[in-house]
Amino acid sequence: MSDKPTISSFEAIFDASPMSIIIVQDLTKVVYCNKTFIEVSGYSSEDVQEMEILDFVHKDDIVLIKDRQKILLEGEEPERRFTMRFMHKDGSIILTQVTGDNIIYNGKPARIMTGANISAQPLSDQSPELVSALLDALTHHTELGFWVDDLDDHTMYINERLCEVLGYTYDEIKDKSVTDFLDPVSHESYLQSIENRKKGTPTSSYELILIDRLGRPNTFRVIGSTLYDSNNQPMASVGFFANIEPMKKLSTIVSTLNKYALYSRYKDLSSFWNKVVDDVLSIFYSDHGMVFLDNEVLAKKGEFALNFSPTDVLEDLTKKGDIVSCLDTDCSHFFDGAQSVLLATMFLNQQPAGFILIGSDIENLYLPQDVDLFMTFANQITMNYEHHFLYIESEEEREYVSILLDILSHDFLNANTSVHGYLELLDQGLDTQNVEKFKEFLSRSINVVERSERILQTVQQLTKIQKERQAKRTLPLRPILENAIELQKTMFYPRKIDVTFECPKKTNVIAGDLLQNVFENVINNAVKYTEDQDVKLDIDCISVEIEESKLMEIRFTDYGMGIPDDIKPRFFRRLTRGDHRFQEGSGLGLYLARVILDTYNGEIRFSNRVPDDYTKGTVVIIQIPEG
Amino acid sequence: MVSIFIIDDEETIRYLYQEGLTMEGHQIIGTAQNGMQAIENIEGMKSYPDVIILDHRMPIKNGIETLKELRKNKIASKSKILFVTADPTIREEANNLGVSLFIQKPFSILKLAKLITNLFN
Repeated sequence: MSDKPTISSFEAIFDASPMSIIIVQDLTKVVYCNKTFIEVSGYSSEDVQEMEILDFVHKDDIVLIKDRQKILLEGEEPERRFTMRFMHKDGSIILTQVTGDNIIYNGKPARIMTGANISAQPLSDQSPELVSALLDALTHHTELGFWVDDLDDHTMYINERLCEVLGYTYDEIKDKSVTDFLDPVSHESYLQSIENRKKGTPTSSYELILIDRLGRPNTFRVIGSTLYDSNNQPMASVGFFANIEPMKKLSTIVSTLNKYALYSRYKDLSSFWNKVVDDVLSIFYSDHGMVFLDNEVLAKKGEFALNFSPTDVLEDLTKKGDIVSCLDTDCSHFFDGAQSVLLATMFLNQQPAGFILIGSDIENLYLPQDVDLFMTFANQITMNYEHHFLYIESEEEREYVSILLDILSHDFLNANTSVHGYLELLDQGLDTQNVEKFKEFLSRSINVVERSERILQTVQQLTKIQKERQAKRTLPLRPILENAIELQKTMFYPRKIDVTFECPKKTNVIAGDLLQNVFENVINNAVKYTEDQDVKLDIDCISVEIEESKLMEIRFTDYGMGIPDDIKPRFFRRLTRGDHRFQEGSGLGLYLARVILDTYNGEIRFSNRVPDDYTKGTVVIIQIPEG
Repeated sequence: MVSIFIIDDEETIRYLYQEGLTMEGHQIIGTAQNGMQAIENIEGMKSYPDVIILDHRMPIKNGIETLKELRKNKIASKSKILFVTADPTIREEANNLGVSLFIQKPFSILKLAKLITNLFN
């Protein structure tokens, strides 16, 4: 009896084992295998005797085996237990957990290896390292997130891409579950998907919003699937997470831009730009925002640094010729604690005219695709803004053309009819003794020609209105009113215009050169609507405050025939050809007054001198910003 | 002699009608500077004018609106209406309301005076 039992003594036991057992000598040569190995591998014992150990190893695991062999050659002991992919004769893969030990076989050193088929084992029971290694290999090159959990929402695996999107490392995330990242909006639908998985009826595709490390919601389209064990029982859940947040952001931007098409929804330009800033901050999860356009900060959210100069920023952008800048560093001069800033140049008439800026105290808040989205947003909104003003300008131009046509077709024809008529009468050979009549016809003809000249002056004023907006400045009110009164008194002579005038001496308004023309028109109108030869007119100025704006209110009260209440508003409306039903003379006076006051951000309206009785005279109320 | 009532907001034009038509031998029995005033005045007359010269563009009530009122008050059926305007686009509307003559500005006052004479011959 030998000192040590030979392997043949144990062959019966080895053959009865449910584990595959092989003995290898000279590192690679298989010198023994048991019956289970023959069954599991699909090879005959004769085949096996001709083969080497590497012939049974999956090509990707050959490195693993060679590394172990190298350790053995160096006289060291590799890890006793390891997992590898064993290749069946038919090419199928058998995941095998292997235990290796040194023995003496037939008097020579050998390695005995015991393998357990773990392919059918539930994933959760297998080595976590193996699972990770396998899943990493499977999901490494995909843009999709990949999350495996057991049926109780415990994370078993999450791939690198998903960790990256959520802003965590694998170690930080591995002990958490999907529910730890869920936005409350998604909570219910996720719990429902877990229930469905347990029932074996998984929800194949659903939307989840997960909150990333920076607190930003990230919307994912999840395609879920259930893994089953060898007994066909659900054992794990696999979810492929497609990040649809950029698409969702784009869609929000498009729908937001669409809403801006209707400027009329907004009370004024300031409320419009405030809405724009609110929207863009919400889309890009930012807390600081500013729109600077035409040398004016039109909207601002959050506090900006005291030494931050929008003009300098625009100048810098203009010099650089950039249309957009993404500044994740060196932006602390914008506001305290600024870590991320997006800045997009706004172009008017193809020239840099301003910018939209958003920022946050969160580092690296903006993703590369955010830059393009932000630029698209800024470009579109600027184009909308520019189109809006081009439209207004073209409408105004159309209105001017319409008025000019109207003047040509009506006022000048009227004047020509008069002058032509008087000249005809003179040509008839009036009794030369009737000098008075002769003078009267001549005088009237001259008056009509003079009126034509005034109409031409009005036309000239109309063409100046565009420039009047830029010509606004602080003007003393009293002398302008005094000049207007004196001019009208002269014009209506010999009719007597008795004016009671009260206006503080040091009163200023913000207006332009055409303000006097407005006052002249109003006085002219009051005289025309007074049937009596003598005209009484009260003019007084008071300071009023409306919605925090200081305005000067100038009231012209006449004692004339009045204007019916239903007709009053029509005096100031836009004129169209043949629509001068309620206008007198040239038909332009009060309309022109309204247009001019519009450019001063002023207003004009009528009221009755005696409430509820329009026949007792009219009060024309003009309001202009106080200077 | 044709009796004429003049409705025009411009005093210079009213005076021109008055002088030119009187020269032809017609009689001006009244004037008004707007439609509302005209209706009040004509309704107060013992006999309606043979001719009403009605300008279109006027304050308070324009020519067409005044014309409708004149029809409503049966004045238009008793007097011939001469509708005067610089706007040719309302010719059809005026004609449909029964005007006797549509006169487009500019016109000759002397020719108008003769036209009125011929209207009654």
